[in-house]
Order: sequence, then structure tokens, then C-alpha cells
Amino acid sequence: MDASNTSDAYIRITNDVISKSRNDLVFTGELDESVLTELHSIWRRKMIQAGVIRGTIETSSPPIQNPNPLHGYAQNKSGIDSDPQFPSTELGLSIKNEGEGLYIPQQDGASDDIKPSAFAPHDDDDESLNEDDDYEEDDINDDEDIPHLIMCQFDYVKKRKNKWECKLKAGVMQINEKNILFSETKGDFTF
Amino acid sequence: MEACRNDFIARSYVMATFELYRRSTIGMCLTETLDEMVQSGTLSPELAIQVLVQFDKSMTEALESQVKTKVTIKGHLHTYRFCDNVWTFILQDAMFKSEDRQENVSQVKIVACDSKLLTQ
Repeated sequence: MDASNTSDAYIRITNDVISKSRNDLVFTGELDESVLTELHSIWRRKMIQAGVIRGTIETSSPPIQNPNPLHGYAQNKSGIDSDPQFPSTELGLSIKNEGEGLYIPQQDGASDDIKPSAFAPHDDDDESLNEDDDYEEDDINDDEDIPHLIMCQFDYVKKRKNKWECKLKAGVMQINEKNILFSETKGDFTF
Repeated sequence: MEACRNDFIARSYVMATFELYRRSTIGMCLTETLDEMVQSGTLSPELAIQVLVQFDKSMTEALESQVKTKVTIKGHLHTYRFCDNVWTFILQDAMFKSEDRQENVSQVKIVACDSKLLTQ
């Protein structure tokens, strides 16, 4: 998992985005070449500062060699911008567990007092329900606590009892302050 | 009904592809760059989005065809969710192995979109 391969790949991707944008937007007159050049330059600078690509940052004084050696990313960039100009994906609020249906919140008024039914078996060990009894599941969208993230595609996900198997592909792994790219992954998880 | 279903799939496809890789460092750097240029009035929001869309395509293509690294992942599955054709896993004590190296992480989040939505 050579970091320099990621750097090369990112540089190629950057160049590809710029040259295709040039074809689509500059040659049609929608975008000025100088703006595209500036875009390229700022993007590159940010990636060098983040430590994901090799390069020097040019300024009016002699070029500054990046003080952060190529190592991955310097900061944890978490979350998705809520800027309306860059719409985010809502990955879904519903938590769907196997064996259970979707949770439908009660909307028909306050909950009723539950009186013991003459037909239900009465168990002396029953405790009354309290607020503290709710189990707060870890928020799956809480990126703050998980700096390690993998973004990819799945070919399949299957499980047998508690053994999960998946085939993933085309992924970016941001783990241990490194950026590692993969074409294919086989995952074996135990639930 | 069929039209609604196709529209839903098309929209899922749009959302599944276009957002995923923007969360990577390279994607965040681009988003920040575009944001700054839009804020300063150098670039219109419409053009910024077109560049971002091109990034989605370039990034996907590079990962699918230019990258050759194969990895295996093992770990304890702490949480899983499948929603809108996206799997989200949280693994604990995960081990990543490629032919030359290994990485261990105590906790990692995996977000995976349906590859079938892209082979159109």
C-alpha cells in the first residue's frame, strides 16, 4: 500500500478533471481559462497541505517545499457540507435491523396508560418502563468519533448466521492517516 | 408505476455516485476550493457543480480501471445499515491486508454504494 501510488493517482485524477472541464466549459466560452488555472492551483495546494500529494507550493518567493512529508491527510475532514450549493446525500435516518420492521413513530396522540390485562400473564418480576431504559444506539452518522473512513462500492453483501461476507470495489481508504486506494476488496466480518 | 420506479432508481443512482467520493480528502479539497471561489464571486455555483460532477466521474473511473491494489478486510462488525442502496458498516478491530502491507484500526466506518447502479 504505497502512498506514492495514491499521490500519482490523485494527480492524474486532478489533471483529468481539469482537462475535461477545459473541454466542456472553457472551449464553449462558459468558463475563463484563468479561472480554471486558479482552480487547479488552489486544489493542488490544498492537497499538498493535506499531505495526499507530492509537490511544491509556488509563491512569489522561492518555492516552499511542503513541510509535511507525504503521509496521508493532516486533518480529519469529517462530515458533509450542508451548503445548499453542494447538495449532500442523506444516507437515511431510518435504522433498519434484520428481523424488525421499520419503526413508525406514534402520531395519534399521547401514549395510553397501560393497565395490566386480565388475559396477559402477570409476572412479578416485571419492571415498569422508565426513561433510562432506552438503549441509545451509537449514532451511525457520528463521524466525529471515527476518523477512519472507507468509501467504496459493493458487488455483494451476504451473511450466514453472524458471519458476513462482502465483495467491495473501487475504494478509498482513509485509515491511520493514510490514503489507500483499492480496486477490489474481500471483507469477512463477524457480527 | 414503472415510471416512478425508474425515476427512483435514476435518482438513487445519481445520489449514490455523485456524493460518495466527495468525502475523500481529494474531494473535500476540491469542494473547499470551489466553495472559496464561489464565495469570492470568481466562479458561478452552476459551473462549480459541473466541475464537481466531473470529479465524480473522473474519480470513479480511476478507481475502477487504473488502480490495481487488492485488499482483504477482517474485523468485528459492530453496526450495519442498508438504506437507499447504501451499506454502512462500522467495524471494530479491523485488519487490512494487501500483498505487501497490513494496517490495523480499532474502529472504521465503511460506506458502500451499489456497484450495479453504475454499470449502465
